[in-house]
Amino acid sequence: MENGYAKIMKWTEKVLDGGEVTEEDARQIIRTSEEDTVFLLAMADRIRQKFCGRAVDLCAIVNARSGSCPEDCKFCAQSGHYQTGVKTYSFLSEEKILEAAKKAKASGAVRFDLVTAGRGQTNARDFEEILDLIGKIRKEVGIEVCCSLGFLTDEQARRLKKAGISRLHCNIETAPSYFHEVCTTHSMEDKEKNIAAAQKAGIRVCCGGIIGLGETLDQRVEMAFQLKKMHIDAVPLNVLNPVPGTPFAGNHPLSPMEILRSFAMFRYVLPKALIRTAGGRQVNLRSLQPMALAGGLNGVMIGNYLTTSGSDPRDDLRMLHDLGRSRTQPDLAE
Amino acid sequence: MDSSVASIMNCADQVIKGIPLDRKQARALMHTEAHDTLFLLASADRIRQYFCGDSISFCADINARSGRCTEDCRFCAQSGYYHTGVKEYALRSEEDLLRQAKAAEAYGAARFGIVTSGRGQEDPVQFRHIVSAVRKIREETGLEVCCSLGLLTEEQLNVLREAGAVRIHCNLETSERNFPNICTTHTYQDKIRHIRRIREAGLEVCCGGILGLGETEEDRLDLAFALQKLEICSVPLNLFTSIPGTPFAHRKGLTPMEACRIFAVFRFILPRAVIRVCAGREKSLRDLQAMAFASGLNGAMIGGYLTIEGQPPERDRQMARDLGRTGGEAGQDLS
Repeated sequence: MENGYAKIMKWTEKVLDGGEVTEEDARQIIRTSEEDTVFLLAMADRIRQKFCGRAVDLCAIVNARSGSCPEDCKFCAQSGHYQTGVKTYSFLSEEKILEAAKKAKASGAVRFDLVTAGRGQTNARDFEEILDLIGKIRKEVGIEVCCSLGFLTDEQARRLKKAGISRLHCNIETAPSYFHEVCTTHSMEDKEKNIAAAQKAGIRVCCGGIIGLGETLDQRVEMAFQLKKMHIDAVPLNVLNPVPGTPFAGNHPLSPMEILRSFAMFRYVLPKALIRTAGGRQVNLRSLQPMALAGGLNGVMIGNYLTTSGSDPRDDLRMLHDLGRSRTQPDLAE
Repeated sequence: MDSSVASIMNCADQVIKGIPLDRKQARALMHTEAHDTLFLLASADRIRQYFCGDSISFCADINARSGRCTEDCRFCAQSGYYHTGVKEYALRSEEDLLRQAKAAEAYGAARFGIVTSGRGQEDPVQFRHIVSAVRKIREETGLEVCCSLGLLTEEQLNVLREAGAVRIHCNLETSERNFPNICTTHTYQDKIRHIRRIREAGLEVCCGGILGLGETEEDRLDLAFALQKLEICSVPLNLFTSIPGTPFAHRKGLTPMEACRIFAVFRFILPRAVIRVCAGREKSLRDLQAMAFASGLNGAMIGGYLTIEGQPPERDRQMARDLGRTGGEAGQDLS
């Protein structure tokens, strides 16, 4: 048997038996040869089957407050530091947000994420509005609610928990060793503190990042282990969709097969996590998108992204059906 | 790892060592459970890599004479027995065939098939036109020319070979057992005799069939093993698409995963063949087309089919590139 093949088998068995791959293992996994990649995906799929089952978790997001962000994240269309021509608006009306939540529900999403641009929640009125919306959306629309609101105070975290959010989203974006290349207005430590505070308040955290920011393969592995260290069990993985005007506008695109190998590596490192393909999947994976779901993933962000449009959710549902996958149901227990 | 995975792996190792699978092993693969299917596909991909390398053979064809066919194949839009509303026309002009061939070459095909409806070539004038078109295409393009002209005589085959055709297409369509259920105006044995004649004339044979005609898994295995026995080098597999007006109009065809699974088993049985997905791939595989190419396939018909349209060839070339594959018979650049 070829060497790479036997190694993949060994790592897979280790994980299936409840063991863990080491950082060195993961560095080899992400370097799986082009020839062994389809095999790697099939094995990542077995790990997904064993620990996560058939169901795929669909979520949708709304950009509730857009642009003019004081942070300088170099990939982001919404940073006020760059001229990206993104639509800028203050907090959307309750009516618009409820409408977006209904649309998400109708599209098949089980969770709906309220996202705001900005460092945190400094506008008290917006924050009260968000708290109010969480209960309303759960009750009136019948969909779980997540929030992505930047850095929060302990008090804000507690109040969100009380209002009934399912998860708080806060991406680490990239590896700790690369973070300063991506953003200088806040640090990985700031992220860690924010996430730890949410976890302390009893909130489940959704935390992932973006690949294709110029990080090395090893840094992608480092990011996966950082998530593991932080006990993250829901990981959205975006692939950079370069935004004109941002410092990363000219980044070299990743090949679809490299993206699939990277996703599979995350599954080996985080066997039980909900790992989700999110922004950039259409432009970067193109016709290989189903192979991501057949390569270890068990979540998809559907509908439009924050500043770019996505697929018709009906096409995504058909893809899931064709892959023989089911969907998770919203958990709306009080 | 569980025993089902181990047995799929053993089958793949056996095929890679050059030892053909027996019927029982192939049957077990055909009945692979849903949770093991991706492993089966990846194993078929390994066999494809080992025997066939990374290139995807793209071919295109032209429906040179359409409809009013004397045969009663129950899936076919062109049979004169059914009212399908298919466009009917007599033989297209030589210039037309040449123009289409040049277009196919431009969009990435390495081979070009001239296809005519009908039982065979009874009209000597039309046949002369076809032969002349074959010669012209050989002279003016870099394409390999294939012909799918029904049941041909020894003499006709010799003429085609001399004109520069390299490969003759003649599908078995399905198993010998199932054949009378899909066609009664000619027999499976007529096809076998024809394939033998093609060989004897020193031409290559392109021969496959249609999946989803209501055949059983055993019929599919029969077809695969028949192709193995005939040592077919190019196997087009079509996915049944229902044509209103035909007796099979109500049939449903396969799900994308079923199709991928069958392709994979064909790869195990025919490790060295160009296994080519043809008509029905867009409709039957939908988003899983790329997966099919990662499941043992190494050929595709591009640019549309006889009576149905296909997706833009640029999309196929992009998909091949994204899968890390090269195009054409000679691994030509896809960019």
